Amino acid sequence: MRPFLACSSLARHVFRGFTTTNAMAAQKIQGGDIVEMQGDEMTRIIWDLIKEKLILPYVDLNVHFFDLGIEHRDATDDQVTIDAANATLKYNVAVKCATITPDEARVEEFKLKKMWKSPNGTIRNILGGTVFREPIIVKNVPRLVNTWSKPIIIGRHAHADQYKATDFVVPGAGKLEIKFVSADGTQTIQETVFDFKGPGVSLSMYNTDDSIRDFAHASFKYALQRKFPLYLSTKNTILKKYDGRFKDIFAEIYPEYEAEFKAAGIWYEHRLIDDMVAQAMKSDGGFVWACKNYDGDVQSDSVAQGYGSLGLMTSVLVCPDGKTVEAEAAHGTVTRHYRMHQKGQETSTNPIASIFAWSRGLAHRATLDKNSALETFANNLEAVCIETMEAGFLTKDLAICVKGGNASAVTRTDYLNTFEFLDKLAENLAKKQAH
Amino acid sequence: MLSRLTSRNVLLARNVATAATQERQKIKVDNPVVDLDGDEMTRIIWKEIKNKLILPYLDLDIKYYDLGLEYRDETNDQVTIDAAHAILEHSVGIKCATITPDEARIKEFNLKKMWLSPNGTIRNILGGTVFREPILCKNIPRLVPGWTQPITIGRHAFGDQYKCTDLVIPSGSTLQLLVNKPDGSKDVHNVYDFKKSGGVGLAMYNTDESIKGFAHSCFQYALMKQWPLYLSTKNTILKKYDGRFKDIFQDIYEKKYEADFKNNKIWYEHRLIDDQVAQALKSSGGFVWACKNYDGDVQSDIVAQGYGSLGLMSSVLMCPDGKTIEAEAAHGTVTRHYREHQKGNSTSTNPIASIFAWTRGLHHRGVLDNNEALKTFSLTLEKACIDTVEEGKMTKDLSICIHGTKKGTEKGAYLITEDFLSAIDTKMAELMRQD
Repeated sequence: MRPFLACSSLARHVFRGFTTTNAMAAQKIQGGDIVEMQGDEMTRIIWDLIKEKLILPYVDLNVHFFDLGIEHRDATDDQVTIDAANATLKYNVAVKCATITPDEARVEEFKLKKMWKSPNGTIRNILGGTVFREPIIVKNVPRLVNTWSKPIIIGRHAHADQYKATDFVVPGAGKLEIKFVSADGTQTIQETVFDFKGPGVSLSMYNTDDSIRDFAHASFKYALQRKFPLYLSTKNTILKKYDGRFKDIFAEIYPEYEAEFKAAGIWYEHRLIDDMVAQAMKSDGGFVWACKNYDGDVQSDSVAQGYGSLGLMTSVLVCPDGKTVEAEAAHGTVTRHYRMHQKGQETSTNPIASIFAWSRGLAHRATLDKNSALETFANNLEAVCIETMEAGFLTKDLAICVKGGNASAVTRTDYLNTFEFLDKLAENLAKKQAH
Repeated sequence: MLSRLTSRNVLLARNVATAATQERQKIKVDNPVVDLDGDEMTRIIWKEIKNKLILPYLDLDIKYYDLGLEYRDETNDQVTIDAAHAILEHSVGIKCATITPDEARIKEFNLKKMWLSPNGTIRNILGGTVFREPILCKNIPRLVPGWTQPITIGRHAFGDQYKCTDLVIPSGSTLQLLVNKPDGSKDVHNVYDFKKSGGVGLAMYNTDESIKGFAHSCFQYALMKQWPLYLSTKNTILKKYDGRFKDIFQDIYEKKYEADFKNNKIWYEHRLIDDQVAQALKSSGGFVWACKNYDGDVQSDIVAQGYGSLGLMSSVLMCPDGKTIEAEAAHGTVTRHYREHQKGNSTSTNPIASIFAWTRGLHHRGVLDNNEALKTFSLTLEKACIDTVEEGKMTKDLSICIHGTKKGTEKGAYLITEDFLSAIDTKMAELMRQD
């Protein structure tokens, strides 16, 4: 047994050495500055392998590294997250590994000083951008919605609304009112919302013009970047003032972009949310969909599932300046696989979305720096991922998708484990870069 | 002369068919059903359904209420109120689609005023929950092919966004929520301080009483269908507001329905809305999904579109007592087709959802009366509709679903309304002879 294991390790070592030697013989692409945010668990392990096997052999990067692993966040009282966000503002490009957002269980598991906030939330508050989630389309991974041949990109306005609401239980009869008082005290609006005859619930929520404007700019810029039409969905027929404001602000700002939209052959439209979901379902994709906070939360899961696998979703945070970008996988730290890994068991964890975080970040760096070699590399990296999967080399989650969602129909020969899959990608990338 | 002779022969043939049908023993229906007539194209079809498909087979006491817009206006909408009370008395209402007037309709019909939606009026009196369910035909392609069984959505059509107070708020303001209690005391909740930017605010509410009614309707409907029930909320974010929905459902389930559910091998679960939409998309259907107001609005359009045709959606209002129901088609009065009809042109209007309003209402009558023959009749009529479509006889909307717009609209690809109803009639007669 031991000699076999040694032999296997030796083979891997030799292979790796050969690859490294071969790659280092070529001239590396000058990549410039990038902010790297390391994360947690299985994705942390995969992240290091992606860098080692797929990025650093080809690109000479000036990496500004921030360890956002939960233990280092705790050690620094979460200052590392703030520093990472500020570095992103400075260098304009960040790639982020998936991170744990602690709950009670994690506070205990890691003996945390306190329940630190979601790093994504902290970063978003500092950068002020909009998150755009996009599926990675692989022809042999069947889609639950079979007409979706092009991606649907959802931009979620991740600010306020239900997520910053004040809600409470109404214990009995009473009158509910909403009141606004102007700063100078000269103007007050007070309206009765409901006269409760018995117990119930109530909430109030808000949003700001500034935040809605930022959302609009980020959405218009991202649609231009992707060369896809943009739709904003609201329920302004019911929330005439609240959602009406979103519609009005987008309409006010659109003239700044209209000429560029027309030149690119794309358009902007507002639609009612219920019309939009039905249209989206019937469509073949190929658009950017600007969603209010709650709709973005719900519809991005619906769309992800419709494309077949949550493991194939990218996530890009675009700032209103159109210049600063943070890219990451849309999924979590794959805790269940990490537990298996800790026990020395085999895992087959899909690294594609994490790789696309790197490729999207590098592509943006290439755009900002007009670095065509880097752009080509980023495109090649994405093409290699897709071609490898379409050639039938899959992780287990995708093999299950290909077998119609039937896990029991999947045998070990149908998929590669985590490390085999990354090695296959490295092999194919080496071939593509050599051409 | 030749044309006139042909017409007379057709009429004679029809008379013969009617005579043949009238020779059969009619099924005696012990208690009445309430028939709510409607508007436009659906009104015409409604009469044909009764004459061709219902009355030849049933000895049925119909309590008729004309909810056509002109008669609603003539009676100052009292007819709608009377109809709702009749449903409470007799437990079964079967409703044709009706016009909900807007400004344009007021002019068109010279109405006294903009009468409320009859569905809204009826729901206020009956106090139930609307459950929308797709009708499945194997040859109508689904956008989500995995949905081999129906998904029924129950929408809590009360309060929340649809009864909220929303405001546009200038910069520098403070937004507060006030509760004036019956004892004269006042709770003040600070929602947001609009220091730097103007924005928007809203307050919304719901009542324990309404949530309890919703819960009972959902549990009763799931028992009727023999399907599991899922309630979706966002209680991780709206801990008090959505938490109340979850708590009330759990409390009622444990106290009143758990034993019945277990006996019927079905279950109740609460899920987060984003998990539920992903699970729903991956599922094969066969469940009842209890949605809050806004989610019900949005998700019912996704589900309808996913099943392939909005013309194949039925709608049942289930009251909290589990005994009183009202059934109707989920679609409108098909105004565009009615305009064609008024010009003397033929139409190809899908009557299936209206027929299913009758079958669902009559089946419920059969359950309440322990009338096995009536239940069998209802299921047979549903089968007649589905078999007719699956044998390739259909209206234009379904033909377009199968063949696409170009081929689907060619002559011979579809039947006009009258011919389609006759085809169902023929199939029904055939199936009833087999029984």
